[in-house]
Amino acid sequence: MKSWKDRSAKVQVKESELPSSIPAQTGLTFNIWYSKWSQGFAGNTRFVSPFALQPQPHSGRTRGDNDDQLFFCLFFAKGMCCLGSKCQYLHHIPNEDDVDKLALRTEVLDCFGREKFADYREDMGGVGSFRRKNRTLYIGGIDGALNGKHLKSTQIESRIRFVFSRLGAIDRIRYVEDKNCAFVKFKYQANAEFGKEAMSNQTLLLPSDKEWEDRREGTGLLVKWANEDPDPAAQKRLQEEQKLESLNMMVRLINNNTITSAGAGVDNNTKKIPDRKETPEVSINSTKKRLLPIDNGLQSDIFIENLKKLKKNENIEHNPSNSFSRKVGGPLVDYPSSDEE
Amino acid sequence: MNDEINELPPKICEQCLGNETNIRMTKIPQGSECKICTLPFTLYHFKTSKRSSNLIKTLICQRCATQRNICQCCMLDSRWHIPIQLRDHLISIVNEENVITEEAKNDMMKRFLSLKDVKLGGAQITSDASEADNIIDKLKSILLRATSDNSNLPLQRQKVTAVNQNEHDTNDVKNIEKYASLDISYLLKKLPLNESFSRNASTRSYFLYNIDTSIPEWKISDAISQLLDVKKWSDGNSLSLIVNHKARCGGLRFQSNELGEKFVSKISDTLSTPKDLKRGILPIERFKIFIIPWTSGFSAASFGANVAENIKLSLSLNKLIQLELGVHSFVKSADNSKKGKTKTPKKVHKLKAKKSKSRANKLIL
Repeated sequence: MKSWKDRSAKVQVKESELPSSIPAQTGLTFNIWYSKWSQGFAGNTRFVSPFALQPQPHSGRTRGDNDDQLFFCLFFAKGMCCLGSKCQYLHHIPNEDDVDKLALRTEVLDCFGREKFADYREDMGGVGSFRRKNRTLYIGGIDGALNGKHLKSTQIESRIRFVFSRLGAIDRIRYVEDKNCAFVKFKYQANAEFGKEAMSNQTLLLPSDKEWEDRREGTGLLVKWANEDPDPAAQKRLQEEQKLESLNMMVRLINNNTITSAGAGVDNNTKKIPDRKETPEVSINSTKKRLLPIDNGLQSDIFIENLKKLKKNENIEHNPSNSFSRKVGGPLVDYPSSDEE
Repeated sequence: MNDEINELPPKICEQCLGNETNIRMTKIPQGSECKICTLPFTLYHFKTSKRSSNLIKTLICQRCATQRNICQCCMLDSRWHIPIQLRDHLISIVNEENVITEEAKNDMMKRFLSLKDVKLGGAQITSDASEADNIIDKLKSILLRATSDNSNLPLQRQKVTAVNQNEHDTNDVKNIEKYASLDISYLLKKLPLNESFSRNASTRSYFLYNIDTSIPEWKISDAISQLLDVKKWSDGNSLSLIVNHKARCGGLRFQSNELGEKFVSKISDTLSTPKDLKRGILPIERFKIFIIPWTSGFSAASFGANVAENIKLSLSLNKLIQLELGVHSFVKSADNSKKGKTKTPKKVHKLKAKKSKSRANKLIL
């Protein structure tokens, strides 16, 4: 199967086919700032989007790939970008490299470049909060997304698994039958952000269902941020993940520190040169990736390896060799330990 | 306003400012609402280069940024370039006290807090160069100690899992009573538990069990795609994986028999059960996932139709695993040593564990 890197992105919808930017009238006055109708009868604003993202055929290279764009196209995620390869944002599913680059840049913007907020919205919808790294989505409105079609719980779970596993590496999926909702946890937060936009207001019907033709009459999925899992086992898992993450960070911080102390006389300004320019080309090597804060997947063995290397560094620090002191590293620039392999 | 003349320059980290020597920055007094304290503040925005399409804005006010010692744009710690929570967690590990940056809940409190002249949480340390160096030194010594023992960390994790195990057990006992009446024989009948793993099996589907609840699906799929040398299998749909964490087992289906055969041939470890059945072993970190070919195939329903059945299934499988491991003899093939990196030498750890217990304690929060 060809990867998205080998082809240019497709135009998902022709511009002429795009719907009017003014939504159907549901109120008396139109607010041009929020692009919403207000006053009068609120009516039901839930709908099924006529567009859907098809990850495999739609993704490809865009202008954004050449310009080192960090952010993804929101319209692409919704399946309605009319620019295709001329789009200045990225048109593919966020992968490991993208996540690394995003994490280097900031944690306050989501993968579409939208600002997050301090607190979640009351209904847990929207862009989300920068205070909590949330990788879990709540999937509701399943009944409406199936137009009331009766399915067994395992069938619903399979459908959810199918659509979401195309949108990024899955950590775990759980379908709660009693509440008719599901929780999808991704490996990376960026994938959760992407999946949230991609699957909101989508139908769960398949073209083989007889209800497929009437899918627009349903209400579409409700995809929101999940609250923290109250299950004590899950909380323990979370704590352990956090601990591992901070331990990784320890190693990284100390590595940086070793570099800066070895390269004596390097002042603050030069030391902080970010390597954003370097990372895109050279796909960050695996050891380094393991040390990035966003990775929870560190294996304890590798961690030990890092520790060993760190010890070596320590020795070097006592009698700094020329080659070592020449290395001027920013916080995320390759540090010697990863070069020594 | 007088304030604007005396105003300090914005607190923006070098990483946000980029590499250009000159950048053009626009200043808008009272231009935006601070994301943390909701008060208006002087907004600055700029681009890292003229051609860049991303406009970088200050998102929080300078007071809030100084209180937390973070950059106004990326909100990462200005010394270490890491998120606030992570920084606080790190410092609490080192200083063995609970450091958190408390955030006010209601608007009035947010504003009140922002007007106070304090340093919050870990900012007290990272805003001061000597304190921060101090912490780094402490970190170093902790890590070096850990390296010299070498077994500290796995030990620590093992301990945690040992505790977990106990809790699992008590949970299991509870569950056994709770689900004693539940009959899942129809599920068990369909599982290929009486089949044996062999190197020349030719099937697309496999049954995976002994999956710890802490293993995420992507770790399993990563391990498999690494074995098969396929990159990004999920894009190509060359394999589908269903893991039911409640039932602690899962199914694996390859697109073709060839892939399945390749997978089987790459599995280096096997386990013989007392009943003379063989199980393939897929090592993931310190866990071992057992593999059995599943010629009849599976669906999501194979692991139970509801949570009760899932849990009951996990209990039954647990019993099976204990049986299989009870009188076990590991048959390890010759190429074992090459694959050493994925295996944890557990016994060694346990030996060292006793020695280093006191030190290990210091690492635990």
